[in-house]
Amino acid sequence: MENTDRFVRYRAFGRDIDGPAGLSLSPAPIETTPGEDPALRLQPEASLRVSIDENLPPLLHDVEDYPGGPKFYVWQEGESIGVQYDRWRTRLMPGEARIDFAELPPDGPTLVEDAGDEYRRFRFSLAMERVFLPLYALFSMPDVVALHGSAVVLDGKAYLFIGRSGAGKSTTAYEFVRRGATLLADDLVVADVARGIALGGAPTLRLWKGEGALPEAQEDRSLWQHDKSKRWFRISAEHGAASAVPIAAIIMLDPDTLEGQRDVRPGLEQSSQREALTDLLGQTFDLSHGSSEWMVARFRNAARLIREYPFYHFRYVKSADGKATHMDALYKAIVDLASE
Amino acid sequence: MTENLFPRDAVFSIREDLVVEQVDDEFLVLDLRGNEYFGLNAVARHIWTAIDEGDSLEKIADSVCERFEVERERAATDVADFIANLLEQRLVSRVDA
Repeated sequence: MENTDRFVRYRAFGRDIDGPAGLSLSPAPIETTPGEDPALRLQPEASLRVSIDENLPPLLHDVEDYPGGPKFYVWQEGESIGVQYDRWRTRLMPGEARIDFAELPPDGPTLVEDAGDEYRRFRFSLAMERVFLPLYALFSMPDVVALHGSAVVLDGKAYLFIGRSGAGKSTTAYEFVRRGATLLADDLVVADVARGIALGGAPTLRLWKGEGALPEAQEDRSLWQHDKSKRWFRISAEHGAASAVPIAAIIMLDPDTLEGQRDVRPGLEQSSQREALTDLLGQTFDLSHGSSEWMVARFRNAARLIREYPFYHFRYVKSADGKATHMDALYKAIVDLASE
Repeated sequence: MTENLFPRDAVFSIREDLVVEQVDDEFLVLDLRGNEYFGLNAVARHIWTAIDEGDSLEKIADSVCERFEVERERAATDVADFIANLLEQRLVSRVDA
């Protein structure tokens, strides 16, 4: 990747992106209007080939992406933002519409397969669309929040699913794609509250499913030895959205496994705005050591999102065998909402 | 009894670094010190706004009594209790003492 001198144009998070050829990002549509924002350039930069693990700067963010997963560091570098995730280090430069990047020397989680070129490109594309590009959006636009969840498009409108870990966000997205919806994002959903849009750009699902389980995927792989039972399914351009889509509603998936509540009928319930905002803030991406400006912007943007868009709880009882038995009810409820 | 926690002319001040957002008819307040937030229902919001406008304890109790149609004594007790709670959490301070 770093040696290639051929650049191609992709489209993600509502903007055109010029980057090295061969990435798994969605290609920019031909003969359409350019993305809403100036093209962003992904630029290999050899000087970044030094991991910050040994010499940590004051960090804005310092977490494992998920338990046992790749390390995820964010720090300030003057006007730029440094980000290290998995095997890549990047410098986000919103002022120059550029992200510099470099692959780090091998380290970190044990790989499932030997790092062939295709595998490396897939993994880099995942890091780009799940971490570096959403963070670029967060740091370059004042009115943006990122939600832990997934988003699908039905009838041209985006439905954002949030919920606690294990609530079934990716499974819900999978089931919607299987029923013909378009996948907008999984893991982090980036919402521009000033424009009322969700920015599509991460149409890859991490699922507890076997090879080929999602026919709408163009590629699926497992990545790390410790995470081998989960596969990453990259949705084809035909079934994924890489542009900006108007937000219709936010739905909090609320599985309830309590014995005494087995008679809960799955359905959408609209929340009070205060309850909705509290729930939303719990599922909004936060820096582990963010500045007070960051915290205020996150809080204000989340409140604005709640004031402007309907927020529902979808309560259901998880089936004992983990099957998505609630999906017919949820799909019907969303289709009904879409036709209102 | 709790009304006697403070003199009737006591005045309070809300900490300046708190961030407030209105949703429906309620407030959600972000406390940056602990990155925590808490909600204020309609009555609490009314008291909060009155504190912010510099009203005395007595004036706040009067306005709660009138606005929410509760007995004067009950309003005074509730307002004093609520403010005592805010003081304990260091969200407001007393400015007249």
